[in-house]
Amino acid sequence: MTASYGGPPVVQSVSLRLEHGDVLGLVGESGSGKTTLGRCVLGLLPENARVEGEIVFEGRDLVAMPAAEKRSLLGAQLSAVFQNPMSSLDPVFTIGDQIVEVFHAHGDTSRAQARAAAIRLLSEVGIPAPETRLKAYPHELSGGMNQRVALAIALALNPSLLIADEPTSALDVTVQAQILRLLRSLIDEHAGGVLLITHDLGVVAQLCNRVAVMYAGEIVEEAPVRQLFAAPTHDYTKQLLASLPGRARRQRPARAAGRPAAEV
Amino acid sequence: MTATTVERVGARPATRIQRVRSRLNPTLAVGLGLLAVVIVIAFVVPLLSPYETDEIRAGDALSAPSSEHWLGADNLGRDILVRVADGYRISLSVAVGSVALALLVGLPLGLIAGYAGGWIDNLVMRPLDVLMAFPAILLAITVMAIFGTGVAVLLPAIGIVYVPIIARVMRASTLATRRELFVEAARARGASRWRIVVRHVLPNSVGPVTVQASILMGIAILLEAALSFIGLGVRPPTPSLGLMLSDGRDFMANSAWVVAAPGIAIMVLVLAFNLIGDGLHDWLDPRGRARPR
Repeated sequence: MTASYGGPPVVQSVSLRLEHGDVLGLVGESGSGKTTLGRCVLGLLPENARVEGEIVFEGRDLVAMPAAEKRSLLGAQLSAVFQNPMSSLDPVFTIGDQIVEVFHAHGDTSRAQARAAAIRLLSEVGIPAPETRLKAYPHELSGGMNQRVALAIALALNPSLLIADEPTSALDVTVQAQILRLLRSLIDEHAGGVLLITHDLGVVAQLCNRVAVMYAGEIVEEAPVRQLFAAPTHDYTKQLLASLPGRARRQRPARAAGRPAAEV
Repeated sequence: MTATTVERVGARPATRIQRVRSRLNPTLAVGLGLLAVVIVIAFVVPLLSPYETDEIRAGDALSAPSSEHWLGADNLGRDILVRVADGYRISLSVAVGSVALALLVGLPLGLIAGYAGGWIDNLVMRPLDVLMAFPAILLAITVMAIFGTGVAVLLPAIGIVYVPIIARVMRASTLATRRELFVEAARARGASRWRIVVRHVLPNSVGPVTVQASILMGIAILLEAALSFIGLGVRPPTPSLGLMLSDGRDFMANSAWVVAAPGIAIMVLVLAFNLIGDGLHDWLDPRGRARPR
């Protein structure tokens, strides 16, 4: 599919396939279009955005789907985790309220059941003393804890597809490692497939089984993780891997063809 | 993640849900204290005073403050303290009533204009801009010229003056809030538009409006006093601080307390609201930046 914000296409003729059980890493620099792609699937693009093509999710085209139908999917079969945990939760509600809200929005769980489920989820994501934490507000918890809560909310209804947009980029390194480990265990338990959008190849190496590299709105290479790291085929991928600290530097190769849609 | 002050104002307001910690700054405390004093005067004094509001005692006319009349008596011998207390009740009801009306109308308008944007935004805000172009007193006078005087007309008259102001503040706050990540996250969880606006945007945008509202209450009192002063406010025999000022003008030279008492009374109440407004503003703002880790 192709997407644009009223100018030249930000995402160009992208074709991706994600199977159940895949953790697909979508890697690219800022301005490569990877976030736009994620937003596109979720239907979160601003009003001046134009999308052409189709996004097939469990047999249905998301692009052509009526809004009401899409809303019943979001949060349930299709969910998301965002980059900044401190601002992705509503500050005026307790985290208990926000977790329970997902249950109420998609089905008829009773308050008691939802609350019990929330407690279970919180302990699954590694939050100590979950009953007490239910009454806490987001600003009372650290970034790492909030991201765990966000994950709990996203995985509460066992989605078929989880889109994680830079889930660890705003966290410090030790917390990052914890969250990644958590993600690994949660994915196996709760999610069908994951689209992991990131600029961090380290994260990709840890979590993904397949990788797609984006540059200037196009997917320049797609391969299983081992293969991509061992034997990259596209120039850009090679440069990306070469830019990792610790790897031997060769002489600077020529810039890859294509221009990013936004010069960052 | 450095947020400047400009970004933060209004971004994390306190609402009914957030717990009140030790954020009671001195400004807010003094303001609330003054307001408490006013409320006590307004409601307790008439119960304890031996005098009625309209009790005319010719023999006491223009007596200075004494143990008999704590704030003295006016030209008809009426006890000033009791009249100030009654005037306070009227002022408070006008202040609260007019702002409540303005909130009832202005808040939803601002919310809708801010969230929907586009032509809806124009449709709502442009007429409000026209309304806002009128000087407050002129607008209130016009309304009262059409519908008559008295408290019942005074409340909506002042309320109308305030609707555009409240709508504007609410709209600005809404514009900022709707770009927050948690609003987007709510959409990503399949929340309906209605749910997002009412449950997520509204509570987070209401902070600056509360600050504005308390300041407007202070101004409402001044408006009521001014209108009553020129005879277009409350209808006698309903007491009003403004009316007391007007009636006392002729006796100012020799019996200053006749105008000083209502004048200072007005000042204290307006000051109280202003301090509360400032205090609320400070209370809301640093809260947004505090992040316990």
